[in-house]
Amino acid sequence: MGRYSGKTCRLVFMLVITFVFFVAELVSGYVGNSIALVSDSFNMLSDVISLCVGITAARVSRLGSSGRRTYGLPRAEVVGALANAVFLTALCFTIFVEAVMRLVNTERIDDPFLVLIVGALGLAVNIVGLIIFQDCCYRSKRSGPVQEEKTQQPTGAEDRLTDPPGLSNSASDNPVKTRQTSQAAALNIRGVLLHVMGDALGSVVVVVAASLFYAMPLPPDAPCNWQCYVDPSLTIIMVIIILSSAFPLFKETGAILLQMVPRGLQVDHISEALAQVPGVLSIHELHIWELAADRNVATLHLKCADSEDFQRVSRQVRQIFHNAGVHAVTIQPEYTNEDQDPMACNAPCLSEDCRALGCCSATHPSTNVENYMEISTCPTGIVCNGHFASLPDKLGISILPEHSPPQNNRDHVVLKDTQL
Amino acid sequence: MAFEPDRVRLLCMMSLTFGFFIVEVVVSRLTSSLAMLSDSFHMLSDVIALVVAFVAVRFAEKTQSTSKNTFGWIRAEVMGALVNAVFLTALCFTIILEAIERFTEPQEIENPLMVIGVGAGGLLVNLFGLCMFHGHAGGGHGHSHGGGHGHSHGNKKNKRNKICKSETPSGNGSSGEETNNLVGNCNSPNIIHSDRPERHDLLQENRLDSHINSNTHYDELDHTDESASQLNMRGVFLHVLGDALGSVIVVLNAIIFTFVWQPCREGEPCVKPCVDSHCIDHNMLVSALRNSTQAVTSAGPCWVLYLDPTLCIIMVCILLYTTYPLLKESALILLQTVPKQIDMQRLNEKLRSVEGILAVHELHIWQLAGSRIIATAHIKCHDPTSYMDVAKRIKDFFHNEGIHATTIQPEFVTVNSESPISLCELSCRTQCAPKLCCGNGDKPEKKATDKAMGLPISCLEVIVESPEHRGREQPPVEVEIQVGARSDGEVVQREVESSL
Repeated sequence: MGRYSGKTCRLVFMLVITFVFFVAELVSGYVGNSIALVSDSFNMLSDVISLCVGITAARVSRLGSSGRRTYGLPRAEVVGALANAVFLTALCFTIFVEAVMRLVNTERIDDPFLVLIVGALGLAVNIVGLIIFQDCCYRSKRSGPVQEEKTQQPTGAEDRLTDPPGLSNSASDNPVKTRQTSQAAALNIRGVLLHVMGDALGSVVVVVAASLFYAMPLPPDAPCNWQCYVDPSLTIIMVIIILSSAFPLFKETGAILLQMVPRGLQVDHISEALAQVPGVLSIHELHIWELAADRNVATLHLKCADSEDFQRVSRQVRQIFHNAGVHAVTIQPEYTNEDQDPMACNAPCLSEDCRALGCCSATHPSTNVENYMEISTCPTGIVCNGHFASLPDKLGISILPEHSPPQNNRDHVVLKDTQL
Repeated sequence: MAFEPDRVRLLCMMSLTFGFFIVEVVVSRLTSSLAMLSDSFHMLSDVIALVVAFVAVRFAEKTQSTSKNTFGWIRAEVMGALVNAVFLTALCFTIILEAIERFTEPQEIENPLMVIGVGAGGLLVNLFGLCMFHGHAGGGHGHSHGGGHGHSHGNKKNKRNKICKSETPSGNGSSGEETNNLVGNCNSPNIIHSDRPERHDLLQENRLDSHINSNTHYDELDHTDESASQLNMRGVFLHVLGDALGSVIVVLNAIIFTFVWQPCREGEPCVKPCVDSHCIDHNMLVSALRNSTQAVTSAGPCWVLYLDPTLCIIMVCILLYTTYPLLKESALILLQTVPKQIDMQRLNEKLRSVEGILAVHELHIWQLAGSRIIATAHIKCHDPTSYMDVAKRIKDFFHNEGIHATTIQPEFVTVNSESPISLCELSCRTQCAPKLCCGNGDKPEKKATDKAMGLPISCLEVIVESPEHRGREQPPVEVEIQVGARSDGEVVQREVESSL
């Protein structure tokens, strides 16, 4: 997608409209001396702020990589979406507080006609915004690859992983390309859209309450009747609706930012498939995470007999990852000695102490029995997790599939056993 | 465990604050004071922040990897810090809005004595919380702990680095592998090679140091978890600080109001010039002037009513100023940027000066949380036989930089290969290009747009030979078919020049 894919343009357009309306509402609120208008204009201001956050995130995520950011900043949109979601939650909290106070201390709407007009205008602006963006997120949801994969996962995972390249790739690659740009921006736009939707719902509530007061006006001195309770109670319902739609956004952005395994990928299946590659003795330090959108990254340490083996094996390993949707893989080979335990990681950091400073040290490595990364044929208790695999002697060595001689011996270099 | 005291503190503060919130709500109902009710909700927002931090701490205790998260959950604290920082910023925003409304419609405080009492109670609770979380509040301490002692300090910024960075053309297609070109443009390998003897000594020295300093890693150990949770606790501290400042303002305002304000007394004709009700005032004035000879009093000095919003705005400024660093720091970690104590330029130079390394590419360094820094790199070496030494040296090197979780992928070059040593064997499918972690797109036009989008792409894919290889015989040793998604020869050439 090009730079001017339309997302940023739409955001900017929405920003301009909302800002203009905010200013108009503010001015008319002061001129007409209506505090309700002024406070409603601040809702528009929060919309403006969320749009600014969204635009900044979209812009920033296009920055290239540099010395300070080796991946570029594709995650900016995810962070922007999270920031918008939190901001919205905080606003909902304050709106909730105000509604509760209104319930306690009821107030009437003084000038229902003016409020009705302005509320209707605000609603119109928000609906325009929703229409502008309505095709962004539907597209990603409908064609979301991860969700489709997820439903197919239990049955087809392993087949998918070990499929011969020709079959799987052509099918999966084309839709992927159209998906990838939409999903990255989709989170960001969803964050902005939540704000707009919240504002729209607020305007709906304002319109309903004002029209109620307009249709059945209260005499000025009469105490507040049931009409005064409509506004706060509808507001509370609105807050609940907004929060429940913000929650999935929290979950999705959280999953990416917490370096979780991308949805639709089962690490167990992948490691089983990897274990079955001939020549692979063991695998440890397997990490799969999502940089942003569909960009998955994986790293692993792979133990095999020698360098020749490794070349052959690495190709197949990458194939497995490619089928799983992970295209940025870094494999660290480790060659075994005869008298060395094929399970142990023999490329650790310098000293034992570094273990805790590693990426995901197990402070109690030997008790980490639920560690998924054990190859299923691994006896329990093996650390496939830290840099060190401190194995007690009694654990048997289970060497995974036979080390078969390399099929395509294109490499003519004779390699000695190397040990790291 | 490092988490225990945090948890206890958070729970303690949570229960205290929530209790006080209930007290304030009850009192506000008894005295029908709306101001107190709204102040009690500030306490509630505190409770929410504490809950967020507590959840983050609970999550982050599980540092082992699981099938859902291969890195464990230690990043939860960074995320908790970000959420709290954004939450606080949003609350500041709403406070500003309220203050502006108060400017336009000043309100008198009813029942100031009660407000003083409850405000003082809230202040006490908050001061207690401040003391509890104070230890973690220092700005910017625990983050550079990952450095340790026996290694180079990456913090010093070379002017040369900045110049080099500005040299790197941003729109240029070749800057996809920007780390490479960065190094390539600025420091030709010739210079580095000539420096190698010295640097080798330096490395030896470092290695010695590292042995000596292995004891210091115990410190690092303690600091790892500490600095990870430090961000989280800072977020909590800032919330409590905001609340404390709010209580201070409430108490101060109420005290000044009690002593300075002269309210309208019942029964006397009185004008309220501060509250914006023109009509009533006007009518009152008229009727008062007509009817009686009594002096018309006016309610107390107006500035008193404007004190509250003014102090609120000052408080918001203070809070935003102190929250911004936390926001920035946690955002930078979550954005997978290079930790600030590491200077990529220098690291690249030094790495390439390690004996046996021909070229480095796809070097990624990022911070998981606290001092846990993770690096991946592709290293091009001469041949597999020397690889094991090189690998050890590389690990040493990274260790000295404070990076203990590395994944190094070797790529070998045969001696007799006539073809230019490409940085990366570029066998990549064009379709994967957009999905790779970083690097430029394969085709030039795609590259341009991708560069514009900031998507450097590296295809780490096994298969298909790149077009320029098709014509030739496969090079004998073909270990890593890593990366580099370019399929046109000229780009490869450019890379070659820069690496040699």
